[in-house]
Amino acid sequence: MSKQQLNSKAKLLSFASKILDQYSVENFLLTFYEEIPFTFKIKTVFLVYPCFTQSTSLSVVEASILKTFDVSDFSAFKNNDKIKDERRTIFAKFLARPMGRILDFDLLDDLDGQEKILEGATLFFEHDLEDKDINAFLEFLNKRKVVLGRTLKNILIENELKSDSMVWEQVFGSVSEPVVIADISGRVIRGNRCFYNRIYPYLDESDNDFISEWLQAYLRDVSNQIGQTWKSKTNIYEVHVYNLKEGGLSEIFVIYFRDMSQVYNLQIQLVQNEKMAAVGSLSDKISHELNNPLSGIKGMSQVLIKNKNTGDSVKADLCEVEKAVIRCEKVIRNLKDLSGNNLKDKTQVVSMSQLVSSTMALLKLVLNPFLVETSYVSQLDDLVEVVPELFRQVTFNLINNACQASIEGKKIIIRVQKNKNSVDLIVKDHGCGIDSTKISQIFEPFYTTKKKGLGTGLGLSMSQNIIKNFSGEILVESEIKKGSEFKVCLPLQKGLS
Amino acid sequence: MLAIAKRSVLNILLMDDEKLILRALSRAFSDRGHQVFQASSSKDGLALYREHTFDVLLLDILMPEMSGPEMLKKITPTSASVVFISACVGEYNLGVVKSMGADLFIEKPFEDIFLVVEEIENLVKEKRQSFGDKI
Repeated sequence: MSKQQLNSKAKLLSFASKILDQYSVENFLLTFYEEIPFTFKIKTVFLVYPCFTQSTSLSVVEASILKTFDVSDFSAFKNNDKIKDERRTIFAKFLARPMGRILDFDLLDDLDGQEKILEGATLFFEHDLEDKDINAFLEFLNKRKVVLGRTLKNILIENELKSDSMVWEQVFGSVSEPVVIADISGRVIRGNRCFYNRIYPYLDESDNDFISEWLQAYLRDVSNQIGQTWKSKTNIYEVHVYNLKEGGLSEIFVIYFRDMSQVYNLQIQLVQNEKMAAVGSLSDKISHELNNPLSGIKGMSQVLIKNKNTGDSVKADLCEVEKAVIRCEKVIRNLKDLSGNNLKDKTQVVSMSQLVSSTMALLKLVLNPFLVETSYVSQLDDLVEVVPELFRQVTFNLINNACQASIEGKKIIIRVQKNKNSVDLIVKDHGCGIDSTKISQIFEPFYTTKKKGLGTGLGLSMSQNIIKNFSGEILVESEIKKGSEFKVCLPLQKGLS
Repeated sequence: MLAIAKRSVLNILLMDDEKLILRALSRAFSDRGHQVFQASSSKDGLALYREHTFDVLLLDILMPEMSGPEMLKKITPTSASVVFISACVGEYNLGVVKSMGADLFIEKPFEDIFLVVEEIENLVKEKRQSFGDKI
């Protein structure tokens, strides 16, 4: 090997070791630019390369200064002689000056020992070379095209991986409900922000190894879709465990927490209100039954006390009887007050659509198996005067009923509509329907057609009472086996404008 | 003695299925010198109405078989003052019973049975006065 050859080889090796060290496209290009001997009159080097976001980037080095641009139209850089001028125009546009002569050069990548052109990446040189120098420059490039191509490819792949994992991290991190990845021993591998904020502090201070318990419960019954319930100090979650390997078991699990607190609270409130309605309905009956004889006892005592034939000691006894009756009356009155709605004075003027859609959010799980069609009135055009809490309970009740009457996959329509003087909420199902002979009974307290444990028979009677209190009404149309339509009509309130 | 002589004696039909109320009201009215007829069912009430002439019909609303208002429908028009009494305060009030043809609503339990008597005496007096004015 001649001295010249050795020299050339050494230069190549030194070039390779420098370029291979580069981890970013920018440094790669700068390093390469520095290595071009100044005898080649290269003014500017352009590198066009694919960017991970599926657009194209253009990096330019000129007088050792590097700039990078996004190029939206990639087609001009495909290897096609016809559009060479177009490239020149594009470069001129980016650099805001006329372009000199342009030489383009593809890089090589070796795939399984075969050399191939590196797709989508091309070097362009603005030069002032004479023809004989062009050949020497091409030779300089040709010797380096494999190492350049391979290095650039690695950098690009690395960029893509980084960006993919960044996108993934961002998605994982921003999921608004807690998610955690754990191994089979219950050790946390990764959790999202929400998990560390809301769940982890409780696991950390507890002696129980909850994660292991959830995994064990999942492994005992893998098919169980319902999830386990877990209470932190402030919230109630449904804990869902998923195995990462489909159709088999891997040692890695994803645990997802669905916050059910609002749903549970609403349900508790509903049960509470239904109990109150039960007490109310009962106390109406009791007070009527008791007040009759009490009136008799009290009246008779008063008559006898005033009677001149009654002795003093008997009169004193009768006074006690009267006092006892008054005490009884008080008890009955208290019972009625207790069951009466103490929320009644808290009415507000609100948009019905807003109330219904916020209640729908709580019914996601219940509505999930059905085809749900909703339509609302644009906000603030459907104002009604109600106690928001109570109206939401009515909505909850009607939608819940519709779901319980329907079979999975059937359509449930929930619509708010505005009329001249009223706003209606329509809840229509395509479920079992109500027998026409029974329709008059459905609003009676304790009347239910549901299976034992599913209903108290107070939901509709309570709903009707609530709506009546807001000067509205609930209408119902139903046909057996075709479905039912419940319509809540409330007086339209004029807006503030 | 003068006061009693001035006050007219009223013929009153009392109808209530609670016997103790019947007896108590009956005593209270009798003590004031009024003539009282008691009925513990609407059937008895109707029979008594057909036999006598009454100044006051004091009827319980919720009665088995036939309610006070239903019975009233069978005998209107009547010149008697009509008073409904009931323990179902939530459902009934003066407005409601007036629409059913009554002049007064008294809720059970009464505060004081003698006030009930007074209220009814006043009602009859006012009614007669306005009737006289019209003539």
